[in-house]
Amino acid sequence: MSSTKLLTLKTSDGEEFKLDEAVAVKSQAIKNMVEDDCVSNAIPLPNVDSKTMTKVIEYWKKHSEEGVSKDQLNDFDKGFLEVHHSVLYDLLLAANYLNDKELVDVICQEVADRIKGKTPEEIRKEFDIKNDFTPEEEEKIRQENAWAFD
Amino acid sequence: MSVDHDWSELPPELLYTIVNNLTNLNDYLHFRAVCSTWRSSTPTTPKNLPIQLPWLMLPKNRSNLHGTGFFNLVNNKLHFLSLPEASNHRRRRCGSSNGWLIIVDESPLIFMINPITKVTVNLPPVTEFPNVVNFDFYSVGREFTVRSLGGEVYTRSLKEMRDSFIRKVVISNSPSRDPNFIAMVILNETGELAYCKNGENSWRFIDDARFYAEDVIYFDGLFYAVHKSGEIAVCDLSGGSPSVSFIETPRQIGGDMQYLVKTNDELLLVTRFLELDIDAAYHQLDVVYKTVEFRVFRLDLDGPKWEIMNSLGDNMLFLGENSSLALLASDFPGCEGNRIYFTDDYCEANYDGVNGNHDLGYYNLEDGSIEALSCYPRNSHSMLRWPPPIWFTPNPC
Repeated sequence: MSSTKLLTLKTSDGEEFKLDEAVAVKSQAIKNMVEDDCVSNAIPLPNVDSKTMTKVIEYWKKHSEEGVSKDQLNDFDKGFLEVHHSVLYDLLLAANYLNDKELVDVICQEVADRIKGKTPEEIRKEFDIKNDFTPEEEEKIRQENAWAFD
Repeated sequence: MSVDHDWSELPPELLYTIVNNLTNLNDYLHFRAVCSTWRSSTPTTPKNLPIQLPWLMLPKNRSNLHGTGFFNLVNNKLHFLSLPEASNHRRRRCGSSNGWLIIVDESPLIFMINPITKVTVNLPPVTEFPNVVNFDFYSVGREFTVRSLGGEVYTRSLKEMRDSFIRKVVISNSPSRDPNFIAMVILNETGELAYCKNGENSWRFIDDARFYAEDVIYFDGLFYAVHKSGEIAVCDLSGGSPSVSFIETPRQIGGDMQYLVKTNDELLLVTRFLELDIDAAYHQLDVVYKTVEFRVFRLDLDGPKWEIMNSLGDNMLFLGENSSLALLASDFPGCEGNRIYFTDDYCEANYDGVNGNHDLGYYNLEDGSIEALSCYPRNSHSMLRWPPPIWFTPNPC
């Protein structure tokens, strides 16, 4: 018989989220705090905003559900990750901060998938990254492996 | 919480996790060319990339001023790599293994080059084989003196030694990954197997494995060499002298050439069947050899025996002068399994004719059909087809 203990998480913008401890410990960071017994009050998460926390909790809950098949989880993940890169960015930093290795890996795989098959310029466009190489540096990079940049 | 969503400011450990999900060398190089933080937080040489899909290294006339042409099967692109070391007409390629080309020169140097990194490594020269008893550069046309197993000596010219002495060279690992790599050579005329470890000055014969000379591969610390009739010599070269054991399968009958390939789960014997063909073009008849069939067998250690396989499943095989390779089509979007990609690696006669044809393409196990590669339509004739195409695995380290 397991006790359903509720934890309160407080995001950077002041919102509070109540969550089953069993689900919240997907975050290694939260798990450590639970084990160190410092969760009597709300757990502050100054590095995560409420918008991102909502999404993280959505992921955690789906991946804690019983009776969900692997295929269903894959479909969920696919839809979950079909977001603008800025949302993905916040999710990745939050998952890293919360130390949820599984979620970090899933997001990193999605980022890699958005990089595959693209030229450097296309990758920059995809993620709104500024090209900060000088023309000389770019030429040097090209020369090192000219065949890859033709 | 980030205000800017600046992907260039992502913590290095996250960038590293992302880059480790890239499986293609092209993608890895493009990643490192996006911005300076992405570049500085990733190693110049990726150590974790899986084996890349081979390119077809094209003959000189298909190359151009930019260098030697390499054909990419998946996107039909031609990559050009500058390879002056390989284009010298006094040299011949005698192996393509772990991303390195092994080249024999008339001089009688043997060396390896990685076309991606341009690193070269010397191997002991041709004169350092135990049966090469003399080399005199001034005996024109008879520079080499070779002793046969029976004790007779005969002479060979520079060109003859370059072209027919060595059949294939295979290395255990890339020298950049493993400084203690071992090189194994199959000698053509005599069927000897010879090896050397990096740093050694001469080649040594593996006497017990003589005539196991159709093909040799390396995996799990051992070299496996196959006899024309299918038996295998397993060579352990880790000690001071070779230790050979045998897998004695019933004699295989038929077929013209044998290859050994290791897939993830099995050891395969692939038998290539050739037929004579008359190639009529340019008012001239050339007799050429053409591949008509491949048969694939898996090793059943319970026996031991070779058991015929009707399907390779998801596997693609790459056979020829290169170190025999098996890859899974599902690892390479755009590729299909159950195929054997082959090049022309057996018969000088195909090149004596002025307008000989390249015997290369892929064999479909599903229906036994042979298709041409899109860069080499069947029955195309081209002058200067030297050197013959070979499978080459791009390897950044």
